[in-house]
Amino acid sequence: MKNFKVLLKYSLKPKFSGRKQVISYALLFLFPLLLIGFGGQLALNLIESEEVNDQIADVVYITPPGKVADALSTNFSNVEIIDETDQVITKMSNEDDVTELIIDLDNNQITSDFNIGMQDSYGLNAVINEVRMTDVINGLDVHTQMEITRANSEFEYTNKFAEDNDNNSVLGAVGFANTFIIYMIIIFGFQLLGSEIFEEKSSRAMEVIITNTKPHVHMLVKVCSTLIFLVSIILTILIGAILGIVILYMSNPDTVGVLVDQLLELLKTLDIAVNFQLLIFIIFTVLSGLLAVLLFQIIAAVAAAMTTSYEDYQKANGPIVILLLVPYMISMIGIEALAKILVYFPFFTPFFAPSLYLSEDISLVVFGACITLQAITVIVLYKVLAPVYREGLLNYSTSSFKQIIKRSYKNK
Amino acid sequence: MLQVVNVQKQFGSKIAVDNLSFEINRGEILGLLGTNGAGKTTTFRMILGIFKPDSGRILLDGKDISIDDSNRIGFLPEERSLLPKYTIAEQLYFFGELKGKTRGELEPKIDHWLSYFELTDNRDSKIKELSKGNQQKVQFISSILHEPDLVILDEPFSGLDPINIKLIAEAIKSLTATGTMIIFSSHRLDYVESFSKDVIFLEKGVPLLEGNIDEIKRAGNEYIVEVESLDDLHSLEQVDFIISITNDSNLYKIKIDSYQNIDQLFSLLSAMRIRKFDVKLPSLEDLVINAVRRNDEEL
Repeated sequence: MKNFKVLLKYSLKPKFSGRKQVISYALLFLFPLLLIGFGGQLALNLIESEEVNDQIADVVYITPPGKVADALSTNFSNVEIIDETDQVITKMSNEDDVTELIIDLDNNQITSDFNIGMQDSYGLNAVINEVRMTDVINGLDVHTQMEITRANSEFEYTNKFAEDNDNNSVLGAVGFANTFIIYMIIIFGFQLLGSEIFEEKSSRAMEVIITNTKPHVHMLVKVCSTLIFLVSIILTILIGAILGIVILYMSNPDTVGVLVDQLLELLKTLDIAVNFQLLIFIIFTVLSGLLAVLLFQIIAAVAAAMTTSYEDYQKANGPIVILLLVPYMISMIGIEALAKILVYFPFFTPFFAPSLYLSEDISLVVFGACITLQAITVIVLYKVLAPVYREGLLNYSTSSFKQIIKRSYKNK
Repeated sequence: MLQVVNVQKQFGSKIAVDNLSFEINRGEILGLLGTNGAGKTTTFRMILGIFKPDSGRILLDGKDISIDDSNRIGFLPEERSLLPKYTIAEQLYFFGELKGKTRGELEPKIDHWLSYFELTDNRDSKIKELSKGNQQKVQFISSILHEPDLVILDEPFSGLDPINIKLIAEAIKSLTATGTMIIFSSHRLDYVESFSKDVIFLEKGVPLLEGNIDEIKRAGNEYIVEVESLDDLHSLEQVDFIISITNDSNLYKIKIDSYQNIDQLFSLLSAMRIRKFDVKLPSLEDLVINAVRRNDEEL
């Protein structure tokens, strides 16, 4: 590994020193810090003000359940009205096996076993509120503004039938966010690494550099330095975000506590326990992402080494972008069957494995196996493409990629 | 000592270098010449350890050369090979550290060479802001900064004015004085001739001309002797070693077949009224052109 350290130092130096870099890092750090630390405060204030209304609604309960049930009986044959302890306080039918509507007045929730549609859910709200308004107009419990607020509050409609789909949407959102982040990192890293190698090659400085170090070491240095740079960017953003949360917590400890509770609730919804298994899952997700970035970095390095003009390098980027669009689109559309196959393809593992694990389609062991496969692919790809990289670096002719690849193994 | 012994390198069906051999001792300069695609770059890359020869050996002080010997070798490529965004100092530190030197070791050397080439004021200027000549000077410094045992200079005078050519020429001479071996390549054969005692001319990987320049010149079969005489020298045309005699009034050009016959010609002319006797040895350029012509005829 002759000159690995020197090359790495000089490869990292322009990424971390200089006025532009300091400003960029400061912005990367400050943006999440300000957004969460201070912007978050504004958001929490808004949430709080909404919660105040809800609180009023929860406290004041003016509509007798029986009246609501009566009003709904013309449209629905089987209606239950429950209180906050899930106890049935009014039931319109004795048929236990079929319940069309469960109305939870305390939590402003209507639940049905079937999809009653948006129109009907508006209709339900209208019916319930009409009963209330009638009460209000008739002078029942009309004492404070709070009661009127309660009377106008909207019920949240939940279709129990579609509960699984809702769960999938959460998983979909997790998958989509994960895919988007990895996609952006890979594309950014691809561009960064490619242009750095291409700059050295086009300036012909490579002619001298390559006389002092083996090409595969040079490739490793470039891949590592770009990876370090990408990780440093992510860490800067993360540290900014964490500090933002700390600021937010210090200024508003209760509300942050509520947010943490909500996060835990989400994990509970996804049936994930906050334990060692979750930690392993997070490590696997990060590791898998890093390995995929590495794989694409190796390809970027070779593509940059093989091209002799920046236009050619941009053209070489085309297939990679298209390749990356595959998992991106599958994640967006949510083709689970394809995801279950493509998760074993090392370039795509991080796009699918986390959401498949969350949806219990794969186990942690399978996730681990996929990562092992990724690691093996990184090593194999590095070994296989190192000669092509060397041949590419020293090539300034207009030979096609195919010719360079052929030559690289012949001249090995 | 650098020894290149029967080296051959082939790329696919194309032979880039065929059975090349030469030696350079400490303090010597070898001129390695050739047309484009003759195999010079491949030879350099084999010496630099980037390519391994298919057959033959390259030895540096008796040991097979490899990329691990790169700290003992300096290389100045034909093209500008600098990082345009770096400053001169950064560039020199970078290449110096790649050669295994520490910043502390490099500092005084950088100061010395920047001062020598009058670049001290440009120390923190970016490479892209420099003139071609100054870039070439930086490139030259970076190739010798680590005090290598062997330096490969490919077109070192490219883009330089006569004053800077002189500066680099003197630097090269000072290197040889300290025992540095130099391989010098240039399309300007007059430069090569003025620096090198030994030369190799490659054509399609094959050495067409090799050896000591003076010996090559003297081993030819056509030499011109310029003679200024008040007598008519055409009477000498019958002498067997004289090929032809032409004149422009009193100035005669006598073409003879061997350098060995110069003494004999001088004896023949001693009885005549001679004002000038000047042996015109062929220039390196003449030798190269003749060698290429002969090779083409043989093919």
